[in-house]
Amino acid sequence: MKINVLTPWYPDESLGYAYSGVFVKRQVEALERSGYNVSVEIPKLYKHPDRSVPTGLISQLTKLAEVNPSGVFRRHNGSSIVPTPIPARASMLQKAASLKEALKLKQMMEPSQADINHVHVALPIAPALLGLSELPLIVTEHSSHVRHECQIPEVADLYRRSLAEAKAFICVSRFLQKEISRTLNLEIGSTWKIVPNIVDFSAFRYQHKNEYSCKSWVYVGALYESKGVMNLLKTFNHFQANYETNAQLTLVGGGPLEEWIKRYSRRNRIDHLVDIRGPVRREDLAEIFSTKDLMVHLSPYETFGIVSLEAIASGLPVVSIKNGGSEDTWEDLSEISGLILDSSAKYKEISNCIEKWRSEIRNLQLKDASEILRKRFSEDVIVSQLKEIYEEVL
Amino acid sequence: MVVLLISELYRVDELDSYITWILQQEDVEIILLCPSKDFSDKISDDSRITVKPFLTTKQARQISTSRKVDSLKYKVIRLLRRGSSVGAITEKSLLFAIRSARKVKSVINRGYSPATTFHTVSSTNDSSVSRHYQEVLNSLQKIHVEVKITRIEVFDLQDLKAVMDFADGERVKVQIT
Repeated sequence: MKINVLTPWYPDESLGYAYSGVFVKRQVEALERSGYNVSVEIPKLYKHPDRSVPTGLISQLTKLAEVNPSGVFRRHNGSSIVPTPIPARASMLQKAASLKEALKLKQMMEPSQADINHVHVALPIAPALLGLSELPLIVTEHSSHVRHECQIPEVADLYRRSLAEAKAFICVSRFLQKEISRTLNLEIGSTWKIVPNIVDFSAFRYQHKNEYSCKSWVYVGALYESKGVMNLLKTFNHFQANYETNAQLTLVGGGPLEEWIKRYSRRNRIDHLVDIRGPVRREDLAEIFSTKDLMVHLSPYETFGIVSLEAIASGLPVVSIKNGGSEDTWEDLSEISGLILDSSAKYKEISNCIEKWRSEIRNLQLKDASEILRKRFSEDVIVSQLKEIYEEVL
Repeated sequence: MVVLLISELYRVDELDSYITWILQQEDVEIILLCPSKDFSDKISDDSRITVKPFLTTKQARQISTSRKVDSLKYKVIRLLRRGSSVGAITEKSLLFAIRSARKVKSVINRGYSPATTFHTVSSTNDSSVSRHYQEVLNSLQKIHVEVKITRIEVFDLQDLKAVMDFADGERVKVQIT
């Protein structure tokens, strides 16, 4: 069976996106290991400076593609980039219309032999495929942006039309499924499925630790305010000042808050305790986990929240707030793997809770938690769920 | 010689990553062809990179209002995201206002037909020539006289016409990046 995966989220380290859609890539690789033939198309939007895209541009792309297809559809990591010219300040409808033209060109130059189109992140790809491809359409939604984008009625209509055409609509968590159902005012139908992301248990192996003292914190993710990073710094500062003067915090990831973190750390004289590592390779991340004794992840909104699961799989307890995704993934395991606090908790409360809770860490059953997660999110489990869906739609 | 051609500021971070990546992958020398010498302060200062502007200083100063607005927009975003509570609240308020305005506008224009709206092709004019077509073309020709260009990597599609007109008849590989 050949699956054509279309997604805007896919790692491309050549352009600085080492982690974008790493979970989509993991699924692609898992399917390939299970014998599926998978092609990957990544639409890339190129903003034109004007409010309209010249019609001649597609002709030029066609001309170049005729003599050198890979000059237009750049190959990277086994995927093909599909360049899509869009006007300045394009609406979602314009993006979908432009993408339809670009995908049409791609189909013309490099006809797909796939049996199924599997779109990861619906907008704008799923509506662009409507009327363009006869293949069964499967849509997997990962994005937390749907609730904002679909506030615009036309975009919500576009999404609904895509779902009406899709043979299966997969969400990575029940939380996200409910959110989309509410946002689009649609009942959860028989084609709506849940297939979680794959946790890479080969990279994140359980490692037993003799001591958990909450002295060595780690956070993994983008350094955005929306990821709760400011709250994290304040929590760490409070904890360090009041309970554990030798505590350290390692931040793995990059983002616009980097400068603020440095200034905040200097101002509060904790700069020698806060280490910003920037993005690291997966192997290095597993190595970092082995030297830490607590992950603190205070993002208020996650559609899945894979890093907490990778930490638990590695034997690292996790402190988190209720963020949506955690409800489906590890909230029921929190008594044996960490601490989940109410989303309204402020930094002092979080810090105080960590202090109260840390004497109980030795009672956690992290190995059991890691094993339970393996049964839920390992490659074999997820591929068998996908296989069932693929066979059902064909 | 590989030429990287870029016109738009919004791709500067990607360009920076790409230069680092390509210099690790290939033993090449790069000419970065961009609107002005000070196009970006992020570009690596590796000795294998030469920056050549395709606009004169005067032209560079007269770049479009939209580009200035974009540049200002990125500056404001960076400022708001420096981590102050005021910045975070301002950004949230602005986003709320923008989303509300779009929603209101969309409801007002509710008489649209989804099918026709969606199928309306975004293109409205037939000119595919960028406003700096001639400058880009001249720069490529000038570079090619000095040193043989083997590959041009195009970061912005509006420059494709100039590149293809230049590459026509020359043994130059064109790559959209």
